[in-house]
Amino acid sequence: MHVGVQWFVSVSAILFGIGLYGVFTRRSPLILLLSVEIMLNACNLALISFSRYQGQQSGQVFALVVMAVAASEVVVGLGIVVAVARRKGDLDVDRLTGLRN
Amino acid sequence: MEALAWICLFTPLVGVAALTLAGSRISRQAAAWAGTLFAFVAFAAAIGELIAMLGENASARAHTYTLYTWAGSGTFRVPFSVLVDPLSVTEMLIVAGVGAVIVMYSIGYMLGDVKERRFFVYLDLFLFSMLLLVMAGNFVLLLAGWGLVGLSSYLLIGFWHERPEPVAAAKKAFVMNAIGDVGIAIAIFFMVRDLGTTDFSTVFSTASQHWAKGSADADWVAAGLLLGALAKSAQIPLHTWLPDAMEGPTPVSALIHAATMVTAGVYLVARAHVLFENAPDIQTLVALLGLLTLLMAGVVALVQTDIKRIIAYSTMSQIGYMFTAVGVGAYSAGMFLLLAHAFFKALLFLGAGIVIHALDGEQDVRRMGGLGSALPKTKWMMWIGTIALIGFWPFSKDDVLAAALQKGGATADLVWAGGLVGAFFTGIYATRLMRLTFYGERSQFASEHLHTGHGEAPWVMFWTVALLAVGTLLAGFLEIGYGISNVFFDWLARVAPTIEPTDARDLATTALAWLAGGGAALLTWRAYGDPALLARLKRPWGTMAGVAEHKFYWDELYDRIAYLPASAVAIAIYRFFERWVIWGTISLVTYIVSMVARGTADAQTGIVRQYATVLVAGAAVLGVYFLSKATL
Amino acid sequence: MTYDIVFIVASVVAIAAALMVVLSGNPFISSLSLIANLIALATFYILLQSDFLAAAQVIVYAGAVMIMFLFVTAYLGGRADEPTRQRPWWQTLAALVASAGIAAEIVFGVERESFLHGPVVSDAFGAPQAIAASFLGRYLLAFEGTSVMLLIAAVGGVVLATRRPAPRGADEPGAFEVEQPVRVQSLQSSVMQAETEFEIVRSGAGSDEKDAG
Repeated sequence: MHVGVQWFVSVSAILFGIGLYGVFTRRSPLILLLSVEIMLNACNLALISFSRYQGQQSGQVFALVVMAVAASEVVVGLGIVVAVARRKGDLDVDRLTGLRN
Repeated sequence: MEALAWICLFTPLVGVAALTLAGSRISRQAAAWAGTLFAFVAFAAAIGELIAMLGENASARAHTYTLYTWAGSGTFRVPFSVLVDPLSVTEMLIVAGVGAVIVMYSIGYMLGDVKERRFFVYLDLFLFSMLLLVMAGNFVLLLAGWGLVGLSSYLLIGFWHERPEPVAAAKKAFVMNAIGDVGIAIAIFFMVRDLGTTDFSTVFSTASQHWAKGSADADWVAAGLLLGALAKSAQIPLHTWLPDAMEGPTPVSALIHAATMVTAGVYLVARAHVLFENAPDIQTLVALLGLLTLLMAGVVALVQTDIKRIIAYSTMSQIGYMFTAVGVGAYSAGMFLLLAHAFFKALLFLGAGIVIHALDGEQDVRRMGGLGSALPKTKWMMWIGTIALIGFWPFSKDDVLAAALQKGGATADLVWAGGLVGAFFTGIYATRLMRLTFYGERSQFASEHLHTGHGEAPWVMFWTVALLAVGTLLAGFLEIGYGISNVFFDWLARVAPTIEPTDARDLATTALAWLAGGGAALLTWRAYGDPALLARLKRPWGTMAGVAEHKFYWDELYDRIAYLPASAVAIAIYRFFERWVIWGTISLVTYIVSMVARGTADAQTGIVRQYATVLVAGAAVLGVYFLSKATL
Repeated sequence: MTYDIVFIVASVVAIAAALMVVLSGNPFISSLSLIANLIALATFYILLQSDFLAAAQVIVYAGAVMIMFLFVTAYLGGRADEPTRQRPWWQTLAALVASAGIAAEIVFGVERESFLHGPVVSDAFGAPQAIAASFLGRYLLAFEGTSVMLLIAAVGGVVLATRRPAPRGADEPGAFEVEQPVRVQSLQSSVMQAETEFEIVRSGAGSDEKDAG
């Protein structure tokens, strides 16, 4: 390997930070979900990098499970977005405070 | 023999358990009859004991049967043992016999009461407790029976607990009896410390070795027992609970507060007479307190208007006689009066119960009158009781007074004189009771409310009263004196001896007592038929009558020195400690918890990005923490 | 050499695409940029000799998940746009600082260590057989749990999609409103109230009056 594992993890960190910025900043729930996807993928990258570095499949298995989780979460999340859009029409995460105390 | 003793003791307890477990699955009538059956089985066992004991040699009649060791500590043991000897068999017969009869009477008296089953459970509980008391073979077990009897009394006095008066009366009785319990406990402490046991036979035989006659220790022991006896038997100064206990149903008044429980004090002194003879000053105190009570109660009974209270004060007075008997050393004379009193006082109470029942619950004699034509048989049976009360037959009162005369000495002579004065009072109030209730013009109230459907009373009530009347008459034959019949005194001679008077003294006392009592009766009879005579007789006694009406102000005194201070302390503690400290602490805790919860709940804003921010901030902090750890 | 060049190119694409996702105002551009990001990541996986995962990434993520996103974006149409409302400038700065901080933290944590070269692995490392052996051997429970979770998600998706809202009554609370509970006087305070009002009942007040007979 020419590129050490640090490089891959650094790229993963940068991607994670970008996704985080998107979560903090954007107000549309759809973009929010996209930002979360970026973060999850960044985690996957880190997992697989270390898996290769260790020479074991554990990290890959973990990453596969994370992929399945992300897919399920997107299904439910998008379902909620669609339902909310149907009822309220207004898609602003800051206004969706129905679960407050 | 042993089996009979246990059967007698535990059958009522089995009855309590059976009736409690059966609950409302059996009808009220069935529960009543079942309760009565258990009482009669106990009585049958007591009779069996008597027959077995009669077959034994007179010197070998004291048996102690032990079930198991109930408690113990170190070398001190308290066995669950019963002592069966002539004295306890006498008491067993009285308690179980009169008790069973009264329980049967209750079947008719409590008919229709919704809590009828509970009444019979309590009655059986009382029978068990009283039998435990009289059969106990050691002082601790006796104290256990003593306390249980107090409990049963509390439950039965306050039976109709929807009204406040019975509840207050029950509490009063219980609290005053608790004071007596302390006395007995103190005596037990002395016994445990000095003698190492509370077993009757051991204590009585070794008492004089450890406590010299007349010493302080001996006085403490006897005084402790005396305190208990005073409370239970309602003698001065612990007597104020007895008239109030009349709030309970009439069978309760008859059974507990006339025939059995209130005589437990007399039984205690008779049983522990060795200890009292070891402390002669205390024994003199017994006689004097009995005399005082005898006279005071007699005077108060003269002005009572409630039929049950007249009989209650009469009970107090008669027990005063018994106390004077055991106070001068005539133990079986006192026991004979106890036996006769059980019969005739129960008879009077139950007869009064028939009158009350016929008048739909009215107890004021001023509203009665002329009931003799409506209740003739009841009237004649109550006359039998009245004659016994005044002392004509059986010769119960005369035996006591004659024994006192025989003994001589300042106290005994005072007892003799006071007893005769008391006989005079007895004659007055007993005759007054009969005259006002059964003779004269029928009052308007009585005419309106009298209802005797079929016969004078339900048959269970009538025939039980008749049984008691027969018993009263027959009891007289047990002890006549003059060499004719000394069955009773001989029976108790070893256990509770008495002082046999000479025939001359006996005859003189009887004649004087009859004169006093009979004269009073005749005078009262004439007076209540002649208003002018009555007014003339009453005129010099105005202030005295006022004092008597207030029962010599004992209740007011106890209010001032005991009840009001205690209530004030309790209310003060409630206001300042309970409210602020205890409630305050609880309220403070709940307040803090709810404030914290509310504050924490404010973090739930519902804004997603806020949540994400907090999440990431927390993760960042953790990351820094772990990184710093890794560095080091 | 080729390895490093591919790596650099893929990194640039991935980061640029991610920036496009979070900075673009058009939801379509965001979705498509994410696809580019996912492809770049698949390249990374191949570089790391995890062939099967790269394939799964392309099929599952870039294929199924992104298609879902695009469907919803199309369905929402204009509503998916970012609502126009000015943000305070310090919010953006704070978000920037926070994300940069997190990224820096991770990079810092990794750079401090000295990693040796990893072991030399054969081609069978990222092959499906190896992963399948792990799933059905050591990580069987995770496998089963994942399948259950996928089932739940599928059910949830169907439920969310097909429920028709019932017509709301006039005084019923809205879908996102909560009813306030009625204030009930606590048991404690009512007991306290009852206890402070009591009377002393005394006995000894029997009926002892002058004899009139």
